[in-house]
Amino acid sequence: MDVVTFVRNLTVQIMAIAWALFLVSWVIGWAVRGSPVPIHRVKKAGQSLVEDAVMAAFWMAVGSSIFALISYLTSNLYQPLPPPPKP
Amino acid sequence: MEILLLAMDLAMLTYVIGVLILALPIPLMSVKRWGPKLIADAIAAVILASSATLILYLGDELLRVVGADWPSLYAWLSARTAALGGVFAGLTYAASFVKSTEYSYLSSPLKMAASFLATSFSALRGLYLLSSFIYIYRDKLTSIGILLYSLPFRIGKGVGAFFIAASLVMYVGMPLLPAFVSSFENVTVASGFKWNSETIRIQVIDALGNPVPYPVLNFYSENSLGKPVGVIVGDEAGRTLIGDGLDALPDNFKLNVKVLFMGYIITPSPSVIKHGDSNVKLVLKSLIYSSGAALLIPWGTEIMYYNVTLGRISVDLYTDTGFTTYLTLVKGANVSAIMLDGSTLTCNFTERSWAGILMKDCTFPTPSGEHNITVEYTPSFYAKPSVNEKRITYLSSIFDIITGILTLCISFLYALVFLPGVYLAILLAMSAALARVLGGGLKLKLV
Repeated sequence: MDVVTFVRNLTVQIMAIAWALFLVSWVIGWAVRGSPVPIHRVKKAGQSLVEDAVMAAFWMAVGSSIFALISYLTSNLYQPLPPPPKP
Repeated sequence: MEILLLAMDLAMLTYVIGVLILALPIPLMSVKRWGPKLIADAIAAVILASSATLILYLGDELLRVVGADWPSLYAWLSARTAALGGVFAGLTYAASFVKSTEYSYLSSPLKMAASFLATSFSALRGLYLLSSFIYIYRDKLTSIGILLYSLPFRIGKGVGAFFIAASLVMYVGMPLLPAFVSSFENVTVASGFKWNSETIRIQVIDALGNPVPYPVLNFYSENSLGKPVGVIVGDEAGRTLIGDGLDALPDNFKLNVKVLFMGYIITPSPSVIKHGDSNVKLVLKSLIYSSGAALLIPWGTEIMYYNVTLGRISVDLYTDTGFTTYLTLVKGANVSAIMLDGSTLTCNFTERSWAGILMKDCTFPTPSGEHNITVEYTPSFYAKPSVNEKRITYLSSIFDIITGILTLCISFLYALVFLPGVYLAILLAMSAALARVLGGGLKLKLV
């Protein structure tokens, strides 16, 4: 296994873990936010967890698109380069 | 390309790690802050990786704009190497040459000058190495810089940015080095040493115009008549030369000369040798010499007639006052007759030795008026006197020569060590500045 394959496999694995973590964070966030605890700080923490998870999901979704876009723009500026990696 | 591919993949990994951190169910801001940071780094790395060829192209374009090129840098470097090598070889030769001469004290400053040149050589070698490295491995340096830049957690961001910046700045900057050096080189105008290569040919002749063999010429400086500044022995025909790289003569010199012959100190005519002379005939007006026998007559004695053959000297002299004539012969020459106006004289010879030559002298009175002196003898040879030669050396001109050589070597040091050093420092500062623009400045804060 060469370094490129290793890095790609690692990326795919981390991507899978990140999706799983997103689900966990989203669930925990809503659970904390909706818990019957009348403490504002706790509820706020839940809120921020949900927000971060949603942002993470967004960046994850657009990740390969951003890379592809950058490659496309720079290759148009001069000449084509290796295609962006696909996780 | 392989490296850039890896850099792209690493950027993707960095991006995914950033997202992962953002998605962590831990409400800690210090950890969460790394998420967006890593995402931004990854995007920057991808931009750099995909514009690697653009960066290389930018280097070529800038080089074209500033009007410099690499082949002329190499031509400049090889010209400098040739010049330096020539001077170095000359100095090393001179240092080893003077060691065996009376100028051996010069070998130490010459060696010092040569060591300056050796330092310049090392600097030149460094310049060769650095410029070749930049020229050959520029694209590799850029690629490695991008790879380091795209490592997760900003591990190699600073050094990567510096590599990219340095590859660009050095590639454009190095060919401008000759222009930089030449613009500052003339600040110190090297006085340029000139070895006084004036040559003066000297021949010593006697009152009759015959050459005097092996004359010992003592040169005295204008001010002091005490100790000679130079002692030079002529050849069999009485010829010698001063200057010609053998003597260190000052620019405007004037030397008094006295000639030693057979142990007598004789003032020649002319008695002064000065700057600008090229051929000098020193006439010893009080000497008549022929194959091993010498007659010494007072200055101002008129020679009315002479007939000198091998083994016979016959002269008619005229003087107002009486004088003593000195007859000197080398030991091998035997006198058969000494005649004054045709009548035989008896002369008591006393032997003496001077500078390794055995001689015999006798004196006889010569009354005033015109008289004929005839000496008949078996001819012999006058051997070369064993006198220690001392070439003419003026301290001031030695100092000038040493200063000239050192100035030359220091100008090499200045042009090949100091100026390129300053220039490289400027290039490095520019690289560091560009690296900061590219996002360098290593700030590793994990928690």
